[in-house]
Amino acid sequence: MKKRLLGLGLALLVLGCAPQPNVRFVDNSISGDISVEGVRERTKGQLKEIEVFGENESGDYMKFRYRVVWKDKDGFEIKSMSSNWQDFSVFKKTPYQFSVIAPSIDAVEYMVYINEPIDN
Amino acid sequence: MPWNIWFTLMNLSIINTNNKRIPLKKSELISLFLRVKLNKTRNNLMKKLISSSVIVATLLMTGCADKTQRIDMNNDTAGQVMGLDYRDFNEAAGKMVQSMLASGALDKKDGDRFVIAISDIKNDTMQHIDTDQLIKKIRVDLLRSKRAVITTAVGSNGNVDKMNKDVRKLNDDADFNQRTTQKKGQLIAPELSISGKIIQKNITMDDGKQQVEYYFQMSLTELSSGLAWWEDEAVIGKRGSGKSVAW
Repeated sequence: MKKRLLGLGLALLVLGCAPQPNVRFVDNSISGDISVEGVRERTKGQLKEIEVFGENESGDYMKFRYRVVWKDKDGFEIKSMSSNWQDFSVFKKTPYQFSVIAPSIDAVEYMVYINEPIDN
Repeated sequence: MPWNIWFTLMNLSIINTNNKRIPLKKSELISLFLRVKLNKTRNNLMKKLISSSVIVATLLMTGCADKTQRIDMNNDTAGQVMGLDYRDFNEAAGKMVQSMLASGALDKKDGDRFVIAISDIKNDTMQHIDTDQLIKKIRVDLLRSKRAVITTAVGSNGNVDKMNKDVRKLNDDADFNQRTTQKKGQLIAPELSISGKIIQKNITMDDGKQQVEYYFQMSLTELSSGLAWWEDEAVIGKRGSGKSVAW
């Protein structure tokens, strides 16, 4: 019984730390500072809209960047300005969210990349 | 011991007033030898110095000169400029398109596409900006969205294709097959119009630094009613040396 509970606890821990399937950290060094709790999806008009939400778990005000790569039903990338890096900042120990609308009615798949900011 | 110098000096002699040759004394010979040797060393040193200076100068002019590099548009890590550069236009245009699509103003009932005309985008900054740089990015992304089409039949100067009118003059030209000319009443009138303005505000801070604020303002007007269906503003602020010029 104890072993089962331990296994369940470990599985929950692993799953809890696992990144969202549609979100990736470009540089893993930031994964200790920021968490991604989930991605909400909805359709607006004919366009898919996503909202990524999580928390700045560090004790500092932090800056990050994100970009979203959208793909059509055949897996082809749809180029748009939402594929450019966008800055976002979060106060310490504070939740965050950012939303992005699909660049085309053809966009069905997406991948969100989160990265360190550029110091300039 | 450089014997050649020594032997040359040995052959030297002094001719006195009676035209008689007197060979040099040993001490005079040594003193002369040392002088000649010193001069030679000095000359060699100068030659070496000059040649190494030439090498250093050549290296400075060629090897160490800054090479021209292409900008990595996807991950430009170069420092910011006080003026507006392509990164600022990308950011402003991206925010505007995202905001316009997310607002629902382009959701047509039957899933059809709106026809949009591009009106004036005023440049109210101290910089020479071709506002088409901004509007082109917006046009491209709106077309890609498949929620709108842009008309080039009417609009501000840079956004009109005069061929729309010119081609219709062929309707009376006997040289053209009239079945291939564009007929009257075919152009589609716009339903919406995009207009905007870029504003610059310069502020000198207490510590002498300069702050420049750029405001990108945009409106989407429904032309039948004259009502603005969407409006937004993107602000880009920069702070730098008071000596930096932003125009």
